[in-house]
Amino acid sequence: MKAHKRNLIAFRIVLHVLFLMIPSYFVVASIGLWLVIAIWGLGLIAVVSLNYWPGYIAMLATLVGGAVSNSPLILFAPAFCLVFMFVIGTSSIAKHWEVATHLISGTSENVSQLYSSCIRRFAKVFLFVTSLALALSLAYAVLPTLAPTPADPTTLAVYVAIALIAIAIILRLASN
Amino acid sequence: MKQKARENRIWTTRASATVTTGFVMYWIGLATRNVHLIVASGILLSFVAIEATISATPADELSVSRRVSPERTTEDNPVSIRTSLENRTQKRYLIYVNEMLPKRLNIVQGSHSYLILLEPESNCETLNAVKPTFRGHYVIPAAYAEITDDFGLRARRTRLGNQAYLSVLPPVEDLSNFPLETRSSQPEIGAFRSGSVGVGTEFFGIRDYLPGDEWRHINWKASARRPTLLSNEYEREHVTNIYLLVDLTGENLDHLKWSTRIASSLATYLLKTRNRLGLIVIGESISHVKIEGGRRQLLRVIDKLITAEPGGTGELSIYLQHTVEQLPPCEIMIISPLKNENIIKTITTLHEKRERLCVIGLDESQSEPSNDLVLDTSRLIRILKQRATVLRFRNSSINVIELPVGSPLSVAMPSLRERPLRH
Repeated sequence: MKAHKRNLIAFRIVLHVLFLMIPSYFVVASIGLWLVIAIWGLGLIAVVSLNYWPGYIAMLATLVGGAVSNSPLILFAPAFCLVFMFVIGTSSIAKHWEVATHLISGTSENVSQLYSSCIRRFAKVFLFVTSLALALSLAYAVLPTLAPTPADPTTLAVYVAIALIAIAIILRLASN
Repeated sequence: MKQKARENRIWTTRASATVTTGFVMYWIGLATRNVHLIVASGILLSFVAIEATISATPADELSVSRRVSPERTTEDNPVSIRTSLENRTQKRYLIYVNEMLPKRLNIVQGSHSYLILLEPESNCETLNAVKPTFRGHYVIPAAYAEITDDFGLRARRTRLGNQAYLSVLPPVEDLSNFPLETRSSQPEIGAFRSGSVGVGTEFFGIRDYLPGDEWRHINWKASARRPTLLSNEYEREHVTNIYLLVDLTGENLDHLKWSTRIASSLATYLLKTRNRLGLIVIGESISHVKIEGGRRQLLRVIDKLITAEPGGTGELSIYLQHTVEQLPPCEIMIISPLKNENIIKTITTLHEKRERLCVIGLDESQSEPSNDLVLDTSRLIRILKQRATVLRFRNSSINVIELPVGSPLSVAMPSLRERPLRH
């Protein structure tokens, strides 16, 4: 392909994407597919390495992918919630991990050796919080369809705000 | 001493970032009418709300005590630092502790940073063993602790316990089996305070009783076996005036430790054998302890050896020159690794002013060669240079006693005995 023709195609893609918002080229048309592949890849890296940075990128990719491909909320909300909780979980145990790997061997009095105990305790709290967050995310996904004006962002925003206030009040009362 | 942990409760950067991102996404979602952004913001903000409500607020009642044992030790002897924490609440806490130890205290057991999981109404003790590598007075600051909730959204940064103090003394060799006797009398004119009372305290022998002998000198046990009375004879110890001049210039830790070890061992031995001792330390600044005898003088000398800061150029300053000129008639023992050119010049100048000079120098020729050619060559050059210096000193009739790095001072005792004390 000649150079001027390549430039012309690139220019056409930019114009289409910026002004018409119509993906007219193969690469642009399949952006949703690429995003899904990217999310899975990054998620896999994050899970294998237990590193939260790929997790953060996967979270961003999930958000962008969901918004660009306009995926159904019932799929997007739990997916985003799980990726987010994974990131939070891995970054929270990073400090435990750091301490456990830099430990100089000593007597049993050094409490860093109770790493497994810390992790067990954290796992309990983590599962509880993840379950609650997952339930809420599903609620956020389902509620707009039950509302008088389905899929209205303003209604959804009101639901989110009400839910946040309700969570805070209910759990505060429960903790007391 | 127990004290309540000083607390400082804050929301962490993570919490702020999550909440800010949540709100930004919420408003952008509203502005662009994007339901995905609104749902995502809802998840983020819900998480913060749930976590803040479920997790325990970090540390309300936390009692901390910290103990260093022993508080006084010698170089390379481990010291334990125990930190006890008591949780009086019904909550569990995760505490991340970071010890901020001084440079020359190396951890040999335990860790610089560790986690403590404190169960409700329980106490916990952590143990760290540190080995001081160099003498001095150390301040061990309170450990820095971060008490966080489970997801690190809230944290209290606090100090655990009070700061502790540790005194590290230079090692002192036991030289009591090596008598160091002078072969001449005290050259000073006039009276001076002596460590002993009367004509003498050291037992010399038994002889027949002579009229005029004190009753308390009669040896009754020996006299019972003889028809005549016998008296004990005593001799007075010879008391020597010695000034130690210690070179603490340079940065080599082994050399500094060597100088301090030799100086403290000699000072302890000489003062315990009732000699009079003074000290001049050439380091970052010049420290001077006037010549005296007795136990208090030993404490003064050891304290000066502990607190003297190493460093400096070692040049013969006006102060040092004046101090040396004002010294009473005495022998000067210079303890130096002989690595500093300025110190060598200082010794030469001092020899012009004071005749009785003895140098205890460091002998590196017996140290193990390394496999590195460059290091070996530089070591060889250093040794040759030092040999030349020692020969120059000996030609100027300065007595030089060379002592290898690792060998005890007792090795040098025969040479010390034979040094030309008096002329």
